[in-house]
Amino acid sequence: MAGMVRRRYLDLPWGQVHYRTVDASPGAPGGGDLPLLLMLHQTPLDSSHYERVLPLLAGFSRPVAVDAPGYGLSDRPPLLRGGDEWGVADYARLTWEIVEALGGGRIYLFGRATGSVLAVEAAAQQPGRVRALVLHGLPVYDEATKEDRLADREFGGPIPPAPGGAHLERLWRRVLGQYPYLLPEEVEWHVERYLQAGPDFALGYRAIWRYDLAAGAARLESPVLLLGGTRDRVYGWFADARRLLPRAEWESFDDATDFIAADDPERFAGSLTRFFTAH
Amino acid sequence: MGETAVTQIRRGFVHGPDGNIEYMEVGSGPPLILLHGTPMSAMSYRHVAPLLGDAFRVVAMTTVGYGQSDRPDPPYTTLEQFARSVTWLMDGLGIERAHVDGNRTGSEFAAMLAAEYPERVDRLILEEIFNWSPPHRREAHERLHRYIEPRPDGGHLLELWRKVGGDRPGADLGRVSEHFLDNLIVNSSEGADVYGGMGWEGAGPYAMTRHDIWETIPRIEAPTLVIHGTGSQLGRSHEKFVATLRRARGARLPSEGNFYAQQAPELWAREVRAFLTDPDV
Repeated sequence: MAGMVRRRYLDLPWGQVHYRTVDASPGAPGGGDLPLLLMLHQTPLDSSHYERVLPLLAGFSRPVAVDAPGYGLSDRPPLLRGGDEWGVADYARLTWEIVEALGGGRIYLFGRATGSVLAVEAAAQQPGRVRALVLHGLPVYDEATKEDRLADREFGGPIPPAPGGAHLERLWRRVLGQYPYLLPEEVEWHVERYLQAGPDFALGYRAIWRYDLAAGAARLESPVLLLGGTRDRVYGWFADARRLLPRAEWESFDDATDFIAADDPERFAGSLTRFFTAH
Repeated sequence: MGETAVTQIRRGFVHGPDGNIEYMEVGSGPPLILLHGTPMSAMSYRHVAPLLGDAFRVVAMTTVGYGQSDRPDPPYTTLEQFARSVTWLMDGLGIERAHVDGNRTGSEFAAMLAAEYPERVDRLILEEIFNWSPPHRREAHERLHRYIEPRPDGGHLLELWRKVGGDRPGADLGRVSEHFLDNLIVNSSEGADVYGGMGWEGAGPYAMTRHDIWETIPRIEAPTLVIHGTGSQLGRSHEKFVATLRRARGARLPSEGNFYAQQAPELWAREVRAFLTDPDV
């Protein structure tokens, strides 16, 4: 696979945004004209999670998996004037900046967990520009839970480096607590993502805990596919997501975890391909 | 990521035959390529490279297979392969010819680059170069770069944290965290069929400890500055390197252990600048 997935940066006035993509092979039919497929990852992972899927999506799209600002290799977003952190609307605007920089047009949009919330807002901001939207594990927080989470320093607070390395043990326990089935090498992969994001890896969570998802969902015009997996950590919200988006198509993978894109890329890419190419 | 002091730094990738190669660059002027030791990455130079940005286009490369640079398949086993990958970085950046400064493992790559591709190297700086080919020296690297197997309780991370000096009193935990990440990324059993107990981290050391650098040194035509720290055990070969190179001068710079730029940024920048701008070289 070496040489297939290309990594690049976009230079923006406030910093650099890193992404992974697959270039159209020269001479491929329609090579340069395929629509963009933008993929937004879950917090605190990054675009490397989609490394194995990207080549499988290149037949019908120009797939681009972006590291959210503050994650992977993307620079951390600056504070807004007035000192506030970026909100979901700010991340969504960045999504469109990225689309413009990569050639514009009408796009396919995919988001996973935190990324699915950003995708809802991005599609709501420019309804005519999203051909179709896939939301994988949309977290439908109620107001009380959002407030609890924003106040919860254990889940949403920073984990700074400690001289004896205690922060590494905390991160290890956190990952294993969330995903007890992971093998040690896989836990290590997750810890690496946390460390890449830095001590304040919860930036993305805080944005979605401050966001009015129902208002965003009400502004959606694009066709939506809701994806879920029965062993997915956010599967508890799948029914809520279907209630929130009653016209959406939905598909639930038996026995799939949060990480189906990496664990079973063919099956995952198959669903995306079927849905996107129908729109 | 993204501190204001280093905003002029740009990160990027070039795309070579073995995939993505990571680099960072800063400044403008004649190009100067920096090659790091094992197991570091281009970004380890982000606090020192800007010191030369007023006079040079400073480009630090992440060794193929390390940090964010893709792992080649099949794994590299020779210094020639690593040296060739530097030419791919240069091609991708439109750099015909550059000054090249390598530290430790990077110095072996730099020496091979200058020997194999003389037309592409202007002036050469070799920091802490040494002949690692005798078997007992190979064993030292096999210990130093040993793969640490993940344990179910994550305890191996503490071992790795201590290895990078996280428990040293007064350690700069931000820097240690960056170095830890460089180590963690290559702490992988991949490549163990080639690199043995070192796992993937052993790629550069494997190539370096299977090549007699004394075969390469006399082939180098580029004017060369040889740097060893005063506290460096490798410095015992300093005079021999200076004498064996065709056009060399040497510098012994104050150090604790091996000399490297991050340990004495201003001193490093002054020495490098003086050598690269000296009209008498």
